[in-house]
Amino acid sequence: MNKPRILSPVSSFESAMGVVSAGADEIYCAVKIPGAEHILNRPAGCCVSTYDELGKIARYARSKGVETIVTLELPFMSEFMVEQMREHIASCVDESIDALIVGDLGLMTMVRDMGLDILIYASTYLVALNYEAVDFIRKLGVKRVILERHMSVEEIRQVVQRNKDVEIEVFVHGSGCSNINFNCYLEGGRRKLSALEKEYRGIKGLPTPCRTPFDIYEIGHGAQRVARAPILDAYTFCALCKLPELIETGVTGLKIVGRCLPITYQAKTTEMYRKLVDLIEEEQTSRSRRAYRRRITKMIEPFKEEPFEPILQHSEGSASGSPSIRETLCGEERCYFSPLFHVPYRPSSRRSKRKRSRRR
Amino acid sequence: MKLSVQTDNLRLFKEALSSHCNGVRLGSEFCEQLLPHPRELEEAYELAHQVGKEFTYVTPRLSNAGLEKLTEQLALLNEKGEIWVAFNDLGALNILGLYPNLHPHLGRHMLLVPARSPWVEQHMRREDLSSRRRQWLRTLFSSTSLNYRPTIELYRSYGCQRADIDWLPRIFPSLAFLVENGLRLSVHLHLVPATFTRKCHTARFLGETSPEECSKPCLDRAFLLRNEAFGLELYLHGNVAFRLAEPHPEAVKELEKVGVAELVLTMNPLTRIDSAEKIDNTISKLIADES
Repeated sequence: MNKPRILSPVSSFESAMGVVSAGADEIYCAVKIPGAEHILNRPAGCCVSTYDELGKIARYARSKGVETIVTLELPFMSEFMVEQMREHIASCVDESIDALIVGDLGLMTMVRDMGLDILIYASTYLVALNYEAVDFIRKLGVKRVILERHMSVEEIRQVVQRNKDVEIEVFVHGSGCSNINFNCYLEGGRRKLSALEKEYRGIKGLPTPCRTPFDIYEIGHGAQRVARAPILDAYTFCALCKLPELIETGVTGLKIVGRCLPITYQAKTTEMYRKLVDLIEEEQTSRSRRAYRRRITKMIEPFKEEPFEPILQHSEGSASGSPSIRETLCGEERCYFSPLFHVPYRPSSRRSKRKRSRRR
Repeated sequence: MKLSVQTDNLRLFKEALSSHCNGVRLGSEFCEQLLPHPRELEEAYELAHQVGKEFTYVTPRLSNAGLEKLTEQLALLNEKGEIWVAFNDLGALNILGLYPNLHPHLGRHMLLVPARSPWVEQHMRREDLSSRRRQWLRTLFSSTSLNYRPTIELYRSYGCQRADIDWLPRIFPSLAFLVENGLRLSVHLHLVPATFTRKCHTARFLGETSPEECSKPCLDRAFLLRNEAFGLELYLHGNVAFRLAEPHPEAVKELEKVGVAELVLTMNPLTRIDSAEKIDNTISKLIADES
């Protein structure tokens, strides 16, 4: 059986200890780039603060048999950044990391030309959506390609089958953006808190317009509003149910998103996927295919009762305190790898949802 | 400066042929469901050829299935003669090398352009930045991911000699670098892509059930989106939300100075340019001195 590696997000030494003991095979993080503003990807607050801390993380991870991968964070390269990025890359590699995630073709060329002894993984920012794109990236000397989120399991299977010389990694949990990352410029805006909170009380994490309601007008049909809806919201989050199928595609890595989320979330999610991947492995070797499918479906169910903390406020949750994955993600069908047009719109708030159900 | 007209709609393409534009482009930069039928593609090429206008085939980001359709189309075009193919996917670039008559033209989706962000002015007004950091940001927002020589060299090694870029006056001075490094530039008027998805926001909103069965409402419908919480105004056409950029003649002169070769005018429900007359009016307003 193909047993994919679990990649967990890390934002500090403490979080690295948490996810390593929870069963991560690889950890990934970014390091704050001196002198740069982190506005094209995640905020600087989601990064490891210093190269020294990165070194501490990498040494600790290695001592536990876990690989450390650094994402170069800025999926962008321009002449004015040459010295800055060269120094950043060299400083990261000096800390005995195992690979770099690179999201720009120019940066990839730079890493290669620096002659460093380091593996290069292609970021989702290179938007590999098909087998030929993966082949193009492979020819640049890349060991692993992280696929775009907006793909079906079948498309992933085809990519893996046609690209045997390169490892394929996919996202499984957290932040399944509504839009293609590389082509989306909506992140980074500073919201007006009061207006947003009023209608969208539940949203935490990164505040992005795609998750909030828009007033919609049809062009050429006057000034009358057609609707008010979170029309850009196609956000997905979880792949628990799709895990057996994904593993069967032959992917190398299963990536958990959450560099900006609490340490407890990073560790808890890692633990959940570790247990499930191990269980699937045990089941797959011991039963007939039909029985395996039945058992796996049954096995996944208890994981849906795990608390899901980062998005919804506790006070809006179930009687036991924190709402579960079933209550939050399953209810809204926030499933990775669901059909492209399927993701339903988020109800405008938990409160209005409750009101609606009372009315019914 | 030359002017090309781009559309994903064969009816509008035929309108463009009778305008005073220099070149015509058929295809979508954004949606693979709009890949034309090979018969339509052939017809478009022949019509452009007959009236002596340069023909460019525009292609979007692609899935495995879209790539297979494109392969068939490229084989057909390769038989016709030398044609430029604007690509917006690395997979498309990877296969273009198989067709000696087809020349890759770098599409807008292949570039990261920080100034496309709706938050540029917000960032520039930030009070928590030192003057050095503010300068760093200013440089970032006036640059593109093509403003790095090795990136251009990589694309040129694949035969790319042309590139598309947006109407963003903030980046115009930095385009000179691209021209100096051997790229012939085309600047798209009016529409700056701010975000793009495969989970088509228009289709989902209008109740379409799957990409394969999409009735393509984007061929004649588009929407204005206002988000009060973020102070944001976007224009939704199919699976792309754009920001609007109003072109003006002074900036056209600036583009000429930096060596930009061509302007691209899009015919779609957002620009509401749907006739040869409207094309010619727009051209004459922008490039009044040309004649």
